[in-house]
Amino acid sequence: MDVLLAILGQFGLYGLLTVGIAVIFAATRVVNLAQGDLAMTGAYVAATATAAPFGLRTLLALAAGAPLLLVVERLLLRRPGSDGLAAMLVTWGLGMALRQGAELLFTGTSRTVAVPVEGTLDVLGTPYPTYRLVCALTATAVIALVLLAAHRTDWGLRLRAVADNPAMAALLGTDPRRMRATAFTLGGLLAVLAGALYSPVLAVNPSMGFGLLVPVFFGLLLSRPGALATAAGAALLISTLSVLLRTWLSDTLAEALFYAVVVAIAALRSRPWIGRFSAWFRRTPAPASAA
Amino acid sequence: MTVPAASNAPVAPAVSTRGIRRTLRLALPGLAGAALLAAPFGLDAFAVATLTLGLCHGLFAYGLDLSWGRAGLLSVGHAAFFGLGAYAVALAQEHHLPWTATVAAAVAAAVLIAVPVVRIGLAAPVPDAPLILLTIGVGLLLQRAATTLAPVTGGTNGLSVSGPDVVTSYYVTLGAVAAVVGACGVLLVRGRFGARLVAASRNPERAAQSGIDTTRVRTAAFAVSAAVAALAGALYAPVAGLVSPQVFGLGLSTSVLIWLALGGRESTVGPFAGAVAVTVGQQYLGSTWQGWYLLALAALFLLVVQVAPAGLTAAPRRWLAGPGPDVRLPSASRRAPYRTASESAGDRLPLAVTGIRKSFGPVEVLAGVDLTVEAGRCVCLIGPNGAGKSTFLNVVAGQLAPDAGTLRLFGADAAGLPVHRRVGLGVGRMFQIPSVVAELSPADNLRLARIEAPEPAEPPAEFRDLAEDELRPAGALPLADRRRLELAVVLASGPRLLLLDEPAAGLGPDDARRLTRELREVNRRTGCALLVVEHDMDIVRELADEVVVLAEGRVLARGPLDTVAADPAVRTAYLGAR
Repeated sequence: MDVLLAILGQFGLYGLLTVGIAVIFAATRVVNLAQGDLAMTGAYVAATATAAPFGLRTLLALAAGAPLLLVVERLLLRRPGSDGLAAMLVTWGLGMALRQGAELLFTGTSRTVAVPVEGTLDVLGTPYPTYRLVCALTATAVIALVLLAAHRTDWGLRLRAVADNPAMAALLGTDPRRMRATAFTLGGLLAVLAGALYSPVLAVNPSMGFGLLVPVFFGLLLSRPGALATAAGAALLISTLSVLLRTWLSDTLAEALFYAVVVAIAALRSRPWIGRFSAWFRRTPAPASAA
Repeated sequence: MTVPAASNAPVAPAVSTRGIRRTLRLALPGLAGAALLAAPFGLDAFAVATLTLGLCHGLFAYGLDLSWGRAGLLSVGHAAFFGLGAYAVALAQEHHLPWTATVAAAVAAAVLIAVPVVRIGLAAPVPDAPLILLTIGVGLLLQRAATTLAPVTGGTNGLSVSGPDVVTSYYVTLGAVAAVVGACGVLLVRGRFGARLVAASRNPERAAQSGIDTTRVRTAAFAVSAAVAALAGALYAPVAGLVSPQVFGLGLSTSVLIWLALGGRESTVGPFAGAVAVTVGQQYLGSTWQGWYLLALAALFLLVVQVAPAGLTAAPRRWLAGPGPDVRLPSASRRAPYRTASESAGDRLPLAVTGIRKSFGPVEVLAGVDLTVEAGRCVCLIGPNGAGKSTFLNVVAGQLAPDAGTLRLFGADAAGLPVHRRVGLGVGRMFQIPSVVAELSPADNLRLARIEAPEPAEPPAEFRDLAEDELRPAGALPLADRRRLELAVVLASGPRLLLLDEPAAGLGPDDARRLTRELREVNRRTGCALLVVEHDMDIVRELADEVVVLAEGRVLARGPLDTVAADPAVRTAYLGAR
């Protein structure tokens, strides 16, 4: 039972970040390498504005994040002619700047954030810290909300259209630039939220983003572009894997095995027969068949 | 035949600046070398130590350039390889092992890690994301290992390394850097390998079609890049005096990206200039300003990536190189083409396929195609949309693997051969959208094709204007000229069987007629067999010795155009008439 709860807790964190990065990737075709550092920013807002109650601090983090993300998108990612790799480097540079800024403001030492909800709760006979449960459930609810929005609203339809074929979506009347801006902001905000929510659970320091980036990146790699549900599924898979390995093995070994397993999955996915199988599964006609 | 004059190219610049450029090109490396050799005599000890550190960093950036700059493979965890080298030296001192053995082991380990990493990356349609991920992962993993294996590696505190005095260590570093850069320059960058790398990283499709094994070339470049990074780490350890798990860290990986991006990719000077400048700045600024300095660097990095992606040394380098496109073939590779004796194709049947099947999921596109193309014949493949013509051409060229059936090219079983091996057998290919290396000049495109050709042929007189066009990138040519350039490139490798997918698509009637005439002329003069997919019946009439009709994945009819056109089954397939 405690393993299941741990997986749920981990999934809340990874799920928010992975769905966020997937939203950004869907609309912009850019892997946001600053995703972890955006979470770090959120965590620092929660860690420093201690005068306000925790819920308010989380909202504050979101309120501070939104204009920042919009400005970044407007200034840095909107240059015409910049290819995918250049945009990826821009996000890398953004992460670097955030990290360095945090180090200047708050020094490199880790901080802890006081847990806003004390005590433990009995879940089917297993005691579990209440706050962890609260934030895992909040995160899961937000993920569900985003997935619902992607599949049940016009905005979600447009997002999926842009992800599938930006040129066609533009011809049908969706402004891809606006879509990119909103998607980047939303995806970034999910990261900020994850950072703020989980700040009492994590050690808050400027380089915490790196540790988060890798599993999130794995999740994106395993998901299908534009299909946010697969991103959430991949996050669940990754959290399960990392929690299980950690309960059975020492940290280093668990980490090594984690990389090995995910790399094996990624490598297997690129084998032609898997590709053929999944192409059949998706029933998308292969482009070369158009004679 | 109308041959456009070469005068539409930009006018050559005045002779005087060319003279200055040439003198500077010769003098600058000598001056820089002399300055580096003399540096310890004019500088104080701290400055010499800083310069030594800068050189180590420069070699690291140079190593990264081999993969990011030259092979187009971005690694954001290159410190993993650097750290291996640094720890090799530290462990040798700590545990009294011969450093030659440990450094050799580190280089071998770097290569052994790099090869599977880059293979997985290159197996993906876009190698960037998996490569970024895997390189980050390797770095984090090694860092974790170095931290936890405390009895061997000293844990978080790391190991201290003693080196020789400042001046000796400077000269040792300088010598090693010069040796590594020299060896890489001769073996990788300047020669034929460099030319292949330019093509493989920019247009893998065309490179493979010129007979280059793109995966092997790029894998080799990445592996050497990792090895150079490990050597740089080995040089760095005694200079820094301390090796801690930080050397695997993403902080250093990020720094090396900055040095290279600022200095400029695809050059020898760029990485060193960037690394030395940043290192000097970092060492001379006090620790109070360190944080701001790094923040400013991050901002500068953002600016450079956006505004000057080629780096800060790009403008003077471009000026020195003289007029022409930004990307050129390395000069040494331009010399006499390298000839390998190839088995003569002789009179063997260029193409014989039987029972070729290919399905995409539930859709069977090719349902058992039998087809032969005799030497010197021109066969046109026609059929309604969706008949499987392009798929068939892709199967013959090697882009797609057939599910069943036999495929023989010039008598050799070719069903499992990769694209570049089929090119070696004598297959040339033109794409529906002309595929040339857009960044290189037309002249360099032709040179590249001749370097790789098993039997290089001089370009025919009608392509003289393209063979002499050195000044603009091929991507700037109009479509009709790009199409002619592609034809010239394909012909330069002396193919015996040429595959064309709608060669006249997108061309105006005049250009289409001219291209048709050129193709006919090629077929007559060289005896090269043609297999052409074409919709335009005027072109088919002019080209075809024989027409093959493909419908619903099968050969419906073959023969002269008029006979085929009169065939009721063909009319049904085309018009849907009953």
